[in-house]
Amino acid sequence: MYRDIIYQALRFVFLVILQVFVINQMLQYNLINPFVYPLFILLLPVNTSFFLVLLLSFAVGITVDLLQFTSGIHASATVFMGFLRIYFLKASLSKENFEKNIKPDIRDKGLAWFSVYAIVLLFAHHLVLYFLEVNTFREFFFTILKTSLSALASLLLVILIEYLLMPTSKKQ
Amino acid sequence: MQQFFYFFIRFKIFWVFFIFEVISLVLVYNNSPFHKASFINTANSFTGGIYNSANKITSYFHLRQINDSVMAENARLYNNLYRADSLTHHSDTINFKDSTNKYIGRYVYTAADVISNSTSNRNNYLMLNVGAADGITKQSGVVCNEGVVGIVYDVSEHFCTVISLLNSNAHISAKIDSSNNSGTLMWNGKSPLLAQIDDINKHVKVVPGQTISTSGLNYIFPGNIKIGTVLESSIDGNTNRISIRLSTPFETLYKVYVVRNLDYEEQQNLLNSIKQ
Repeated sequence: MYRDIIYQALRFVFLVILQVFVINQMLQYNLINPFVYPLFILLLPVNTSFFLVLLLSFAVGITVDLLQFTSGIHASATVFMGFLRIYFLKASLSKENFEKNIKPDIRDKGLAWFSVYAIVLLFAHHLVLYFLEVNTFREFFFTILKTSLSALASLLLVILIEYLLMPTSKKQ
Repeated sequence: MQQFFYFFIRFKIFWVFFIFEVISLVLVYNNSPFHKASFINTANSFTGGIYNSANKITSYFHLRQINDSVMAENARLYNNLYRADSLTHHSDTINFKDSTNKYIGRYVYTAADVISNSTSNRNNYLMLNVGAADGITKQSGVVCNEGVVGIVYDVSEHFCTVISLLNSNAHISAKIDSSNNSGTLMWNGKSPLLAQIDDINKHVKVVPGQTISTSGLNYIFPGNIKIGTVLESSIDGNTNRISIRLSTPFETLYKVYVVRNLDYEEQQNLLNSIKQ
């Protein structure tokens, strides 16, 4: 129990640092602008209570907001993503999965399922994020293009991070 | 009453989501300057220390680049010094335009390190490691060796946040060097290398390659600081759309200067009295 909380806390810190101090410093393009910190919310165990999912979504979003001086847009986008996650898991997982309290990751559910899960939620997150950032529908098609390309880039990075961080002994 | 509670409990996930979303959206859309400033101020005190210690490590990697740019700046200043020297000796033979007399204002430069920066958002901000303790005030200009960077937005004790030129809220008064026609510089969010001016009269002839610099008209920047060069211009109805290649390398910005106009308040007070 306590091990799990410490593990999640470390993941929170690692992903935020990776996002703000590595990815934001190296991958700065105006069209492709990936975000990997939502992986923290994606990988929470399936039995995490809905309140905790939304609270943690808000927490990770507002942390990134404070680090990037963007008042509230990351928090809004991540809370929306957390909300969708609850229903996506209810619709796509069997009762057995909930009883075993699996983690919605590549090891437990396979690459194909995880890719669909991640791309849907990342796209929703990026869509809210970029529309709130631009704050107008005038640049509609540019924003949609930016959202799609960034979501694809985020998906690649998220899968890469998952493979890198997967415990080697349990990989088979 | 029971029905009422039942209604809440039945959609409890939605209501919790709703509450968190409203809190975030209030933060986003609260446009009152007080709230915006207090968010940035919290961010200032929360992140200033973090960015500062990160900067202490990463700054070593750029030392060579910074050295080169300081040497180039030194050389430029030596050249000016030499020219000023020779002018005092032969002032009867050389006709020169003195840019410092044109706009009377006293500007103070303070050197600063960029400790956080972004170029990929729609609204970009920078953070510098100087603050109120170093005499920095709001609405000071920020420049680097190559050109204009932005305007100081908020100041805490040891840090300040800067609205980058790459921000939809940055409006900097610019002019075409050869003709002195001035307009407002804006950024459309597409590329950190380009900015736009839309409000120069369409009868003004604009040629690619012309230099754009600060006009000195809004009292934040001194005049004649380079902004960039004209890339192309096209007339669209009644507006003259000018695209400008910025001379400031926003993606690799480490050392900047804060320019403070000592007469700013006095000038603004005069302007305000006209408006009233």
